[in-house]
Amino acid sequence: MSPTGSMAVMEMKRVTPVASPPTKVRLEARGLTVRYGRRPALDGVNLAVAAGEITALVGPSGCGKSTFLQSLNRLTDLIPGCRVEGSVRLDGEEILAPGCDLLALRRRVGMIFQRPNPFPLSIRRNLELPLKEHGIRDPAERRAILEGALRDVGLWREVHDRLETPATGLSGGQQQRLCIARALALEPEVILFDEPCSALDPLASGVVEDLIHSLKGRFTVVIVTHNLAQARRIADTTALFWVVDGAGRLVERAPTERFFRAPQEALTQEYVTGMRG
Amino acid sequence: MAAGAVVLLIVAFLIRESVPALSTIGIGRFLHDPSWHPAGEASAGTFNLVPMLVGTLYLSLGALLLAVPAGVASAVFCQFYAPGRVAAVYRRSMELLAGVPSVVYGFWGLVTLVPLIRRLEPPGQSLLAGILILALMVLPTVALTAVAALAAVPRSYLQGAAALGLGRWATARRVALPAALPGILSGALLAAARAVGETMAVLMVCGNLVQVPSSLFDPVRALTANIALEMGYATAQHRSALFVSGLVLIVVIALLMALVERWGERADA
Amino acid sequence: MPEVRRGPDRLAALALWGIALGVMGTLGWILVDLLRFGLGGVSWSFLTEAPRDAGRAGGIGPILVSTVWILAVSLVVAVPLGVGCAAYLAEWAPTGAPLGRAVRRSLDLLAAVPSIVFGLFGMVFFSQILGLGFSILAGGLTLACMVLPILIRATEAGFRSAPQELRRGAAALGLSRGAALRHLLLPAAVPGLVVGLVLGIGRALAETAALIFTSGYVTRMPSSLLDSGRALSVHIYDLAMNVPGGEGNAYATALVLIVLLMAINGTASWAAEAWLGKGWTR
Repeated sequence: MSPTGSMAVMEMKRVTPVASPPTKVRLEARGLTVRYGRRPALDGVNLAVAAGEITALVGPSGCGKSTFLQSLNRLTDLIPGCRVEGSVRLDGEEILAPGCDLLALRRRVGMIFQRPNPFPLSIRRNLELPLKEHGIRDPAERRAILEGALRDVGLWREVHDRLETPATGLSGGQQQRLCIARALALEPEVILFDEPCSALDPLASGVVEDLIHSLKGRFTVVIVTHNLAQARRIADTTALFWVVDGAGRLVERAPTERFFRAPQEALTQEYVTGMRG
Repeated sequence: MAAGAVVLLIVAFLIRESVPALSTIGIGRFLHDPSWHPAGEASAGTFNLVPMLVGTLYLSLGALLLAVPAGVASAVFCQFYAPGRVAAVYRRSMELLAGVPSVVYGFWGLVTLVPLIRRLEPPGQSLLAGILILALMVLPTVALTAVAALAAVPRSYLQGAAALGLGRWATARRVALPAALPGILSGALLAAARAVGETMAVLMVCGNLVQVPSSLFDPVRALTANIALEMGYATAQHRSALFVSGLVLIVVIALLMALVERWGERADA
Repeated sequence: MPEVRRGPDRLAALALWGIALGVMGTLGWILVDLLRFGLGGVSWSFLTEAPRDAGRAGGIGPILVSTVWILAVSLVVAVPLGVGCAAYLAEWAPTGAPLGRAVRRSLDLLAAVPSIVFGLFGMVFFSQILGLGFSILAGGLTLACMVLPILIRATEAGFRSAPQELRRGAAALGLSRGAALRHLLLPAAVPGLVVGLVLGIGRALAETAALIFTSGYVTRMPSSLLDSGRALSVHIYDLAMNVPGGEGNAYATALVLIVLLMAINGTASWAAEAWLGKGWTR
């Protein structure tokens, strides 16, 4: 075996092994191709997301990470001229099928955006509106869920005495946590994060990152980030997207430690060491 | 959804009502019949619309000839010559006057302007009165759009002119006005559309005689006034003819507004 | 701006000041006349009594009531239709859907129709074909048609002003289109709606010709929507053209009408400023 080869083997032995019993696959994309008009933004992506894990999608801007994320809850439907081909299965059910109940899908798969987007309503209404729309009629039940979600994101102490004030009056970090609480209140199975910290200051960023990390195990998390250090800190699995031959493709996917220490692809190696991207 | 359907319904209805006249009378007759006597003997009415078409044309053109220069001059005054407070007052007054109902303008014209004209030459209700009142009515439109267009001229142009030692008038005339021309043109076209569609004011001050005017002091009848005066008692064919004249008005105004859209795009380009 | 120096500059300045003063003067003349001849006639009794002697004496009480009723009918009809159409145009058919384009074209066309043609349409369709005769209802419905394009355009602008991330956020939470519309987008469109309302009401109050043939001439206090009723603008017309010696009350009525319009404009400006400060709703 070549010197690098034996070193690689030794590295792998030192690395924390991936959970040994076969992990359940929560979300799986097969041959996913997304086009805006003619141009394919994503081509032939095959990616399985394990349940309860945090999967990070990294890569330079414009290589389809956000597009991939948006196809997981069919938010791509909102983009005019966007066509999605291939297969995406949530717990085995095909979500790209025409008869798929979108409202129910988006309750099971929540999404947090790059810029916090609380509704221009009070904090309470921000949380209660989706609950009401999804059929939670009992006000007492709603209040309980509301408190639980706010506690989960660590906001309860800060805002419990001003729930009627506008959500837009909160700081950036608080707003983002509110958005997370809003999604959590619906008890999703999967939560998608699209660069959730990039619009926040470092302090708030840290708080939100810790929060995301704490969701592991209870939820399946997919997070798009261009912050490699962040991916390394919180993700169990990391995947690299890159523009190859004019379309975004999945280049490599591996458990985080192996992704950073001993990547298989040369591209990954160059990206991780900062020589490219 | 349903709302859109309503809109389409109205348009369709307007067209449908005109069809009988168009088919039974024929367009040629609208232009060449000896006169306009739709309720004429038995079924032999005559439908010459030319006097009214000419009336509307003269009224609108005359009004524009007065209102556009005056309006543009007011705008130049407002933007370049008036001290701040005065300009603000001027603009506010224009906005106020743009909202005055046409019936009030017509009323004032009837009790103030017409007697004055009558002193020059009877009967007083005349083409001149109509032109003057219409000019007053559309002037705020021209002025306000011109002000907006002038205000949108980039500061760099004006600074450049000043740096070259151009005086106020020279700057306004040679730099600002040309730059603001598309906007000013839209204002003029909008004013034209308003003038063509105006009913009450012309009804009240023009005398409403069916004739092609030979002098400014002749009474005249506009197409709009024609509809207003006769729709109360028009039957069948007559009414259909009125709808036709209505269609003509719509076509003209729609054309003017389409031109505004095109000029507007040029301004943004 | 450099000071006026040379001859042509001085001449131009003189001419422009002259024109401006001339224009202001003429328009001021009108306002002064209105105040001079009209103010004396306006009083509480004027506003509440019924007209006597064909309107030369007495007041405009029933006429005010009729005007309000006509306005109310037109708004009750136009606002839901207008908001609905605006919502449709802004949310469901923004890019080139054929129905959306057809509706927009028709709206543009409708905005080009002169008021007298609306009157003709209203008279034939509402009064005769639908059998409403001379009535407040017919007048209100006709006005609704006239006000609709204005309302739709302004409200659509209001909808468009809502940021796209609001819609995405709502979709990501699994809110239905209808729920997003009701709770989020409609409140965002309200300022646009208010602008549209003000412009529409302004047009409606100023409308004369269309009303003469749909809501009629009667000066009695209306007892139902099917009664004929005279609007303020129609009253001015009647006094001016058909009633010799009616100028005094015509001036007074005109003054009332203008004050009403100014009040509506003023309230709307105030409301718009009050709203602009807040970025949120309950």
